[in-house]
Amino acid sequence: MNTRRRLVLTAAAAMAWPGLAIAGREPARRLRISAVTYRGRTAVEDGFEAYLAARRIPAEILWHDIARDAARLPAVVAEIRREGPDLVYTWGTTVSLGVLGPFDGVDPERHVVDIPAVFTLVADPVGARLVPAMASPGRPVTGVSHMAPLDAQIRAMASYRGFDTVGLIYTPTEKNSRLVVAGIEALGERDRFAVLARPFPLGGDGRPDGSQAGRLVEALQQAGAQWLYLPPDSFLTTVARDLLARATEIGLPSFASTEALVRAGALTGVVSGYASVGQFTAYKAEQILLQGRPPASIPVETLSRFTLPVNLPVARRLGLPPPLAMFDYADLIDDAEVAR
Amino acid sequence: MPEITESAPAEAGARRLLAVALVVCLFGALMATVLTRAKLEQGLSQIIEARVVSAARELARSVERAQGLGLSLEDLDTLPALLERHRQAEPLVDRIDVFDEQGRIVASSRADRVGADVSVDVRRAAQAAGEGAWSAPADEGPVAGVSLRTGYGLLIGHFGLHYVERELAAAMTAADRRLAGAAAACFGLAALASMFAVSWLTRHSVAGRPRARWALAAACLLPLVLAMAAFGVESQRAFSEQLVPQAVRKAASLGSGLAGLVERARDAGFAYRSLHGVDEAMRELREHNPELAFVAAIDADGAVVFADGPVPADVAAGAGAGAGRALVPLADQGQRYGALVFGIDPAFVRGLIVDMRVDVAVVLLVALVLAAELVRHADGTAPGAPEAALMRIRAPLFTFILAEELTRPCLPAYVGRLAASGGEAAAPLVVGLPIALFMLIVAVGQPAFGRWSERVGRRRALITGGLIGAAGFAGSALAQGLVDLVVWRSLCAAGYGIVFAAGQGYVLEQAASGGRTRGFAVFVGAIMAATVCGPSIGGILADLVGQRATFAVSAGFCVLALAPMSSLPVVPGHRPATAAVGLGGLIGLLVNRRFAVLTLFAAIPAKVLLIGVLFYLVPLYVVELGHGQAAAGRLIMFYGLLMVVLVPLAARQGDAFQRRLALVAGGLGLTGAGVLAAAAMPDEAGLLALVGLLGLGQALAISAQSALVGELCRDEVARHGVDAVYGAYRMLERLGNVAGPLVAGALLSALGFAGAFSVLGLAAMACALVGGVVLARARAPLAAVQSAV
Repeated sequence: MNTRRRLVLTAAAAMAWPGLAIAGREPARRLRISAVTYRGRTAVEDGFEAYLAARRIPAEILWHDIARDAARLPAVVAEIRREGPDLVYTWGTTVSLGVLGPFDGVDPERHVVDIPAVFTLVADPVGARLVPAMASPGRPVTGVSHMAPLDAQIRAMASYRGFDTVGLIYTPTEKNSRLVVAGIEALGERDRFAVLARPFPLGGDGRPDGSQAGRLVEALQQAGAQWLYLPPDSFLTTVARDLLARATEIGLPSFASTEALVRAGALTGVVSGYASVGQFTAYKAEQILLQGRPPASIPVETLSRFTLPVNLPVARRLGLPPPLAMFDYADLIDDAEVAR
Repeated sequence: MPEITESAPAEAGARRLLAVALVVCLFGALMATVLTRAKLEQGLSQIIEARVVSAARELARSVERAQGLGLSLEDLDTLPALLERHRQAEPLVDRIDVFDEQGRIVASSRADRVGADVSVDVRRAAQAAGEGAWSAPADEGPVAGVSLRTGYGLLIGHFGLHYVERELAAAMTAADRRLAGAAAACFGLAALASMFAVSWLTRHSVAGRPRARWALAAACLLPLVLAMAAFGVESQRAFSEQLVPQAVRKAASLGSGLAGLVERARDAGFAYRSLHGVDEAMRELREHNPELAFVAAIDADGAVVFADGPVPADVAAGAGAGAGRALVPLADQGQRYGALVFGIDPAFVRGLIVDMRVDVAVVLLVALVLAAELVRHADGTAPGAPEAALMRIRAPLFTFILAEELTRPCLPAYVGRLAASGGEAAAPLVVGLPIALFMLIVAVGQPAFGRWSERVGRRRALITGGLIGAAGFAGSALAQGLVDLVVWRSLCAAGYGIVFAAGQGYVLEQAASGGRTRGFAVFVGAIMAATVCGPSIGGILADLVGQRATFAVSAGFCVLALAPMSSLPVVPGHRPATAAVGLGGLIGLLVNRRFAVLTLFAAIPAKVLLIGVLFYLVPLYVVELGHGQAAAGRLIMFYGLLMVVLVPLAARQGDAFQRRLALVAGGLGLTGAGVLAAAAMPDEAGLLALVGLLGLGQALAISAQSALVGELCRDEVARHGVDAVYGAYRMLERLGNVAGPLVAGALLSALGFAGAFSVLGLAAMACALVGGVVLARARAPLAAVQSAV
């Protein structure tokens, strides 16, 4: 029940209810927001804009996109300095770090300083060193994480199908992933399930090697894993499609921690609706712009409700239908959507 | 000659008995019908509300799902249509509003409602519910609903589903007809039987001697008891007839939700038989809807595929439908592949009936006490009765005290409700204040009230007290906040104090010839009868018609008491003969170390526990445990009954000092044990143990404690007189009454119920131990000295 309540549905997409909107303090002039995205516009931006519109906040958004190329960041930073906006908006860990810098290594030459900023879609802001602590950012930067609490994820996994051994694959050089592995191991100790964690081997250049990913999956299943858990791991995401296809082939259900991993073919997961993440980010922007709250005093937070997507083709191939009650709140994804 | 003199009073007596029998039958019939009706209505409304709440949840889910699919509700155009669709899906629902935190309607299935405000009750209920479901009354009928929140937990708005209680009204009309018929038949026959039996018994006297009173009483009451039983059987039928179909309808609407999930799963490409977690979903449904005996999913041939609960064999045999069952077909494009079968648990109806029977039994008991009281009044005040003047105080005293006793089970909750502001619950200590103030006024005012009533005459004082009490109760019924309630309750206290003091004075004056003991017996008897009748009836009233109405009824009883008060003999007042116990006298008494120990370690703690636990903690705790105020009233009545039965027995327990001391210390220890039992067992058994042991403990100690005062204060009695010493003792004891709710309230806010019970119980046991040991030791040397001299 608890699991269910936590997961109860979503609220993605624009939640603009003009009638319900309570007009905030009217700003004297039109506000300017410089926004930087990683791979063009996503549903996060839709949610962000929809929230501002619903609250009738007169903001002009100046868009910048780096098209997955971190080398473009210095140019973008220079442009933002020229624009002199009221707020900076950054999407994802790479962009956010590139524009704002780590909290203990801000370089006024390379990073935007002295302008309030909100970051969004950063899985682990503390691990990425964007802020020293979620509760108090300690710098004029706040934002939204999209990762569901680990125990909520584990409970959702157990309510889909019970287990006593979970396997996971991660990149040892990614700090994020190591933190998640440690978190899952702690939960295993508490809730009495075994955790089999397998790192990607590192090549001579210190880079992870994904060529043996299929083998890792098979080894995990042979060692007794009943689920394959996928942490929010950048390298893993790049090789996820093949790895997940293999897992499904050999009958190992997979659980994703991010929407990208679900799209790559995981059976299910607990993820944030991107539009909700965008709205929540806009809510924090509103606190800074209209209510005059210093960003340093606004905690970095994650959503309180998440979506539970289920890849129906995967479920059918595995012969593992979701428990009946889950049909009430799961986000059922069929062929067409996975293919997209 | 002898025949005439004997038969005339016998005839008159029989007529009086018949009148009593009729009154009691009428009371029984009325109360039993009202109670049964209320219970049925309550059961039906709960079922209907549950249907509406589940419709509200369904609506919230589909709105959130729509948002999840990216269907923006940016333009509110789509929302009214969605609301209208859901309104039509549940025939109970009349209108659906969406309103914001300020209570403004922003969307509605009825366009003209947009922009209007919901009622304050509705807004408060919605705000207080958080993420849970809520319900509230409104002018056009009841409303139930749930909230709608964003993905990050912020409130978007509330759905309020207005529903019509058409089905409830129809069911109640049918039930009313049946219950009224049954009541008329059962109690009418009972009245006829009583009349016939009584007149037969009086006419056919045995060997010229009138029949024994018990035979006449049995003739009066036996038909009543039988009528109650017959009415109980008949009302059970009415219950089943109305409740089961409603429960079936509710099951059907739960079933369509479950069927919807099965359909979704099949649409997703999973075969019916391969579905997972179906029994789990069924179990969850049964957990939330205890009236469901079983839920089964069958296939087209009737074979059970999934089930939770004991599925009867005939379901598997294909007999899906039937009485007390709901059948929801599962079909795909007109092709039926199975069905969901819901069975209603007959025990669910039985459970409601058992609950109601306890209430009816309480009414019967009250009816018997009332009958006894009426017989006594009729006999005692008959022309030529030896103590007519003394006995005439009983009726007004009983009626007036009954007014106060009625409010006992609901007073703490009522204070809490009025003291609560803006959704914030009142502090337990604040809730205890009006009760403490009441006790303080009674305690401090008592001597003054007594002297005043002596000066103006008891009759005038009684009438004045009655009027003040009536005003106090009427004001309490209308109170808008804590402050004015405290003012009105102070008037109640003054009225109570005056009537108590004047009544006591009256019996002493009237009984001067017959002895004080007899007079006190009349006085205490009337109060005890009210203590047994009042709380139980009051609790039932509070549950049925509400707390305010209960206070109004109390005001009515005060007014009712005025008539017998004004018919009391007019005796002019006179200057008080005895002086009040001054402060000096009190201090003088407390210097007597043994008296001080008895008071501080036994008398005051006993009162702190009685008032703090029974009249303050218990009513709140009972409600906290999820029972009604009627249950609190029954418990307080149980205490009253124990006192009636046990006090006379305990009073006979010898008069040796050690024996009395043992009774006092043991009584307090038992009281403590009872309170500890409640701390250990947070359920009905714990409460029963609490009240049982509390009653036993208080009953054991009460007479012995009083006697010990006289024994320990021989010198003081010789110096100041018995009245002064006992006056001072009672005053100190009543300070315990004042402290009770305050101590209990402070403990409750600091430690919660279990903690408060534990501390009070342990403290009582410690007091009993210290007091017992100190007094037993103190006595020994004295006895030695006396024997030496």
